[in-house]
Amino acid sequence: MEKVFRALADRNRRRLLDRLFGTDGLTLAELCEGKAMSRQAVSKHLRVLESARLVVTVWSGREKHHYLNPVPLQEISDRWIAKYARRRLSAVSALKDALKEEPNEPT
Amino acid sequence: MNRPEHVYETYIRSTPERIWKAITSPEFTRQYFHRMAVDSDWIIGSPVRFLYADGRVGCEGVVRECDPPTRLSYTWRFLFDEAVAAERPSTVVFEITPQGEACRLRIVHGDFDADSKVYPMIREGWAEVASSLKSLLETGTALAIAGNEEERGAA
Repeated sequence: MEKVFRALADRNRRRLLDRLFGTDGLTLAELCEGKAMSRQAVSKHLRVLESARLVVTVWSGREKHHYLNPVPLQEISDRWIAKYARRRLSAVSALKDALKEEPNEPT
Repeated sequence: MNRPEHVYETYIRSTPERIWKAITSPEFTRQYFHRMAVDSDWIIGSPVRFLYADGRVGCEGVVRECDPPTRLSYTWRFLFDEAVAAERPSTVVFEITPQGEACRLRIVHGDFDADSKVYPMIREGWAEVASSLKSLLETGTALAIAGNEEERGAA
């Protein structure tokens, strides 16, 4: 999990994830397009993302495609976010139930 | 080849046989897969259906590959609204690879048409399912997410 947080701590790496969120399965060359970063820098960031398993690669012939793997983020959300948000969510659902019991105003 | 495809990966501290059972048995899928029970005899060409408790079918497909306990593939068609049900079925592949004490579970959902409506819809869904499956096998408890907590409304 530390690897995931570390990988996310860099703006350039978050941008690469956003790019893959928009279009999944891009090659290194495609990920470098329009970027001010060098190919080497992009490649280095991708290695960090791969090691955190936020990016998964699939070879297709001689091309390596990069896919956003959202599972580690989901695991963080389940472990660190859902737990603390649940009370608020249950308050919202209690409110919803209370409102449902109110008789409807004639329209 | 740059067709729309999603790839998910998670490492689960379990055996390939248990993971296989978790993806092919209704008593397991009901716990982590939007409360749906999978129903199939897992023979190539046989139907695969995901059923809600009230008998409604949430999605359906046909078995393409079945190589226990490492590789399973079936086609996939969502039935919850007419527009997505009308789409050409996509394909899901599960790959289970032992890695030391754990196994890598890779889920590839692909073979979508370029304008697929299902493709952008499912990204979070599979991530929730994979995370919940991992929790179920590692701790014995599925997560209270992914519609596991309460029955999904018809809407």
